[in-house]
Amino acid sequence: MNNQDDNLLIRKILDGNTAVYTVIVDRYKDLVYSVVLKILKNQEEAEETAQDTFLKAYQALPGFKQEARFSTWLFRIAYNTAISRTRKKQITTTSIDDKLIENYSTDDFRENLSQSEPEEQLNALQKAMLTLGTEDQLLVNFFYHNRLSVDEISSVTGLSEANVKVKLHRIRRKLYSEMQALMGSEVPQMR
Amino acid sequence: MKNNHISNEEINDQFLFDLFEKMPLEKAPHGFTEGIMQQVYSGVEPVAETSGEYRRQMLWAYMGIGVALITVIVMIFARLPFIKIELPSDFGILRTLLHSGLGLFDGLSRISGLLRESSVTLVIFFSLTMLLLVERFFRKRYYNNFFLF
Repeated sequence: MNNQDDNLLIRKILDGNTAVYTVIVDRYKDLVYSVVLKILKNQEEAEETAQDTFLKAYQALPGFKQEARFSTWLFRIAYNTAISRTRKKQITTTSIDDKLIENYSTDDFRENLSQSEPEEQLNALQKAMLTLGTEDQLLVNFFYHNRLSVDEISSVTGLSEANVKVKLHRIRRKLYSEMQALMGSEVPQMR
Repeated sequence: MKNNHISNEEINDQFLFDLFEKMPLEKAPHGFTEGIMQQVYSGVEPVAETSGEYRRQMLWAYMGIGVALITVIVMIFARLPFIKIELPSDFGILRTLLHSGLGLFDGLSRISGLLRESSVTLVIFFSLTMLLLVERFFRKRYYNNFFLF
């Protein structure tokens, strides 16, 4: 997804070509829906929230400064809309067992994992993701799946860049350890 | 959080990037785009939230406060015999100011009574001011959270 292309489309919409917004919605609907679904855990609510996100974004288009990527801006609206919807519920964050994680060597993990079948790896990753709290799932998804930078994640979530890095570092280790456990391999001890 | 100095190399993990790329993405429901475009076509419009636009929208509020302020001043001056502001004559400006100042001191004891009498006007004035401040506070927070980059 080209940012310049997005900016061009936005300019057309602001010039009155409303129909062009269809392209934007089609381009980002799955990404936005997937983000809000991870927060809300409910398909109906996620659909409504994703729709709200696109309508809010449409109304706020004149205020979009094209310094940031459009996708980051859109994620931020989606994130805030979903979070405000769950304000009464508590976002689940699972505490990661520091001792357990720090004894692992991710290099060894990766070495072991890379020897297994890709399907097996993917299956393990999906299951490992389920062991993470909502916030951790989002962070790891933003970084490894949506390819947002630490800076962009910080601007979407409001967490400091240092905090994002620390969290990502620990979540990555946690993912490896869960995957390793799920795949039934011996867990290598601290190197 | 024991370690606050995580380098980018420690999180840039190509193995995970590749694996996540293969993960299926949740799909938005069928007809999602059409639903949004229907609402867009039915009159939702981009709203320019510039500071000029904001000031234009808030003009009524500023005017309301202005009118309330003038009303309060008029009521205070109309009811306070000890504040007789004389229009300055050619040479008597200082004397007028001095008299007005002294009149204020003399009448301090009566001010509380007057405030009670004009409490309705004051309540209206302060309510309007508070409303404006609260509105500004929330609007600023809202747009900081959602739209300002």
